[in-house]
Amino acid sequence: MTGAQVVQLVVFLLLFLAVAVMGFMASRWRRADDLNHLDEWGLGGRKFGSWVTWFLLGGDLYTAYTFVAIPALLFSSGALGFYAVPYTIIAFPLVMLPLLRLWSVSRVHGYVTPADFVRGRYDSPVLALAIAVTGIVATMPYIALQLAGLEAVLRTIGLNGSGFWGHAPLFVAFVVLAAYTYQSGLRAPALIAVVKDVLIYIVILVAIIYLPLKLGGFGAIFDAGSAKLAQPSPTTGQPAGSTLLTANNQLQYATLALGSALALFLYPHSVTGVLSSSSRATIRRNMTALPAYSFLLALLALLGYVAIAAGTKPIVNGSTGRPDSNTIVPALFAGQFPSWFAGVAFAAIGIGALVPAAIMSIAAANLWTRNIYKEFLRRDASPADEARQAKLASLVVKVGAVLFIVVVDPQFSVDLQLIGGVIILQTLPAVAIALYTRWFHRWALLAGWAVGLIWGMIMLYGIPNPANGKQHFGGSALALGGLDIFGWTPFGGSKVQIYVGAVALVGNLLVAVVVTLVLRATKTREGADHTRSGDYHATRVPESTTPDAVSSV
Amino acid sequence: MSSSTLEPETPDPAPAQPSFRFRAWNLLLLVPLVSLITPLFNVREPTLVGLPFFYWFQILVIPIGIICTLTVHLVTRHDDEEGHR
Repeated sequence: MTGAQVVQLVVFLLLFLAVAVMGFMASRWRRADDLNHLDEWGLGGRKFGSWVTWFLLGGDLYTAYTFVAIPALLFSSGALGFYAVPYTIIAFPLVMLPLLRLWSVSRVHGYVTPADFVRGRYDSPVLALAIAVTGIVATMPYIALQLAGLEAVLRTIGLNGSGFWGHAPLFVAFVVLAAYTYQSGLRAPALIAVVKDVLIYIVILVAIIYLPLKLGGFGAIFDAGSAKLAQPSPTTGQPAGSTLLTANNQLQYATLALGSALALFLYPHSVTGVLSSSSRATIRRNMTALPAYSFLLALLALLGYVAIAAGTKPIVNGSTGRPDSNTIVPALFAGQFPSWFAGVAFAAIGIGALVPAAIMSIAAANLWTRNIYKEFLRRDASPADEARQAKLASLVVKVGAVLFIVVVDPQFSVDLQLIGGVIILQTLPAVAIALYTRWFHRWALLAGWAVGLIWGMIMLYGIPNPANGKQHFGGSALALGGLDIFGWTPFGGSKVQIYVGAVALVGNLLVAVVVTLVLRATKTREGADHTRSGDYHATRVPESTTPDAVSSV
Repeated sequence: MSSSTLEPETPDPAPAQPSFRFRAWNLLLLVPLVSLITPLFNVREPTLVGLPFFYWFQILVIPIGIICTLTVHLVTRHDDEEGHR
C-alpha cells in the first residue's frame, strides 16, 4: 500500500464510521411507539415527507453500481452506455400516475409489498407468491452489484488481497451494514442517504469541472475516446465501440432505456421507497424533482471518456486475476485527485453502495414476510412476529448477496443484473397494468409471467459475448436475426439488436391476452377483487375500511 | 376535471369516482420519450463546449422533462387536496 493509499483509506474509514454511527442512531429518529411492527421497521412508519423521500429514492435508484458501471460501460463500449440517461429521463414521468394509484390503494388496504397488492386485486396467493419470488430473485443480484461497486473501491485503495480472504474487507463492511439495518430498519438508509448525496454531488461537480480542465476540455476528451474506441479489439477484430450509436444498436439503446424505465418501479425496493412516503403530494413532488439526478448521472457517465483521455487502466482484481472494468472510475480518481479527496470520493461511492443495499434487503425481507411466511407458513403471525421475521430475512438476503460476490466473477455479476432486469419486467402486467384494469384473468397473468421468464432466459442463454469469449449469458442485446420462435425466424439474418426484456415482455402480454380470452370463454372463476375503484385515488384511509385487508382474511 | 358524470361531493368513503380519470394535461408526460427516438439526435455536430449533439441533446431533455412533469403536477394537484391526506 502506498502513502497516498493510506491517506485514502483513513479518509474513507472516517466517513464510513461516521455513517455507521448514524445508522445505529437512526432507530431513534422520529421514533415510533413500537419498532416491532413491519410498517415501522420496513416502511419507516409510512411518514417520510418530500425531502426524505427524495433522498431515499435517489439513494435507492442511483446506486454505487450506477456510479461505477455506467462510466465503465462508456469506457469500454461507447455511446450505448449513455442509455442510462434517457432511461432516467423517461422513467419518472412514465411511472408517476401508476405510482399514485399504487400508493393510494396500498394506503387504504395496508399493503406493504407489490405482491400484497396483487394478492388483494386478484384474490390469488399463488399469483402473489410468483410476484414475490420474482422480486426476491431479481433483487439479490442487484444487491450483489452494490457490493461489486464497494469492492471496486476497496481494491483501488489497495485492499486487493487474493483468494477468498481477499473479500474480507467487504465482509467487514457488510456486517456493519447488516447490524444497523437489523437495528433501525428503513430509517437507517433514509438518514444515511442524505450524507451520501451530499458527498456524491461534491465529488461529481469537482470531477466534471476539474478533470476536463486538466485534460484539455471535452473536445479533446471526445477525440481521445473516439480514437481509442475505433481501434479493433484484439479478440474480435471489430472496433470496441463508438462515441455515436451505430445502425445496429439504436433499437437496443431505445428498448433498453424503455425497458429499464418500466422495470425501475417494479423492483420491490423502489416500491418500498414510494410506500414509505407520507402523501400523494410527496410522490408528485418527487417524480418532478428526481430527474435532477439524471443530470448528475449524465455528467458521471462522461467520466468513462475522461478516463480514456487520462489513460486510466482498470485494476487487476486480486481474487480473479483479471482486470476489473468496475475499477475504472475509482482508478481515475486515484490517479487524478489529491489523495485526501480521492478518499472522500471513495467514501461517497462506498456509502452509495450501502444505502441501496440496505433498502433492497429490507424490501426483499418484506416480500418474504408478507407473501411467503405469513401467507403459507404462519397465517396467525402477529405484527411483532412479522417484524422479527423480516429482520432475520434481511440478514439472510445479505448473506446470499455476499455469496454471489465470492462465487462469481464481478464481470459476470453485471450480467446477473441484466438477467434481473429481464426477470422483474415480467411482473409488469400483474402489477402495473393491474393498477388500471382487471381485464386480464389471474391465471392468464401467471401463464404470461411464466412464458416471459422462460423465453427471456432462453434468449439470454443464447447470447454470446465475443469480447470475453463467453458462449452464454453474454449480455442483454439480442440480434433480431437470432429471434427464433419455434423455428420461425421473422427477421432472419438481421444484425439489428434489441433488448431481450422488451421481447420477452411482448411474449408475456400476448400469452396473457390469449389465455384470458380462453379462460373467459370457459368461464373459469376469476376470484374477488378486494379493491374498489375509489381506493386508487384515496388521499387518506377511509375510516370504514379495515386498514389491513390482507392480514384480516 | 370536466367529466360530464361528475358526482357531487358526498362524505361516503365508497367509490364515487370513476377508476380512470383522463386529462389532456397528462399527455405532457410523454414528451420526454423524444429521448428514445435516436435517429433524431445520433449525430456529432453541432457540438456544445466540446460535447457532440448526441450527448448535449439528451442532457437538454432532462430540464424539458422536469418542466413537463412539474406542469402536470401543478395543474392536477388540486385533485389530491380534498381532505387532509
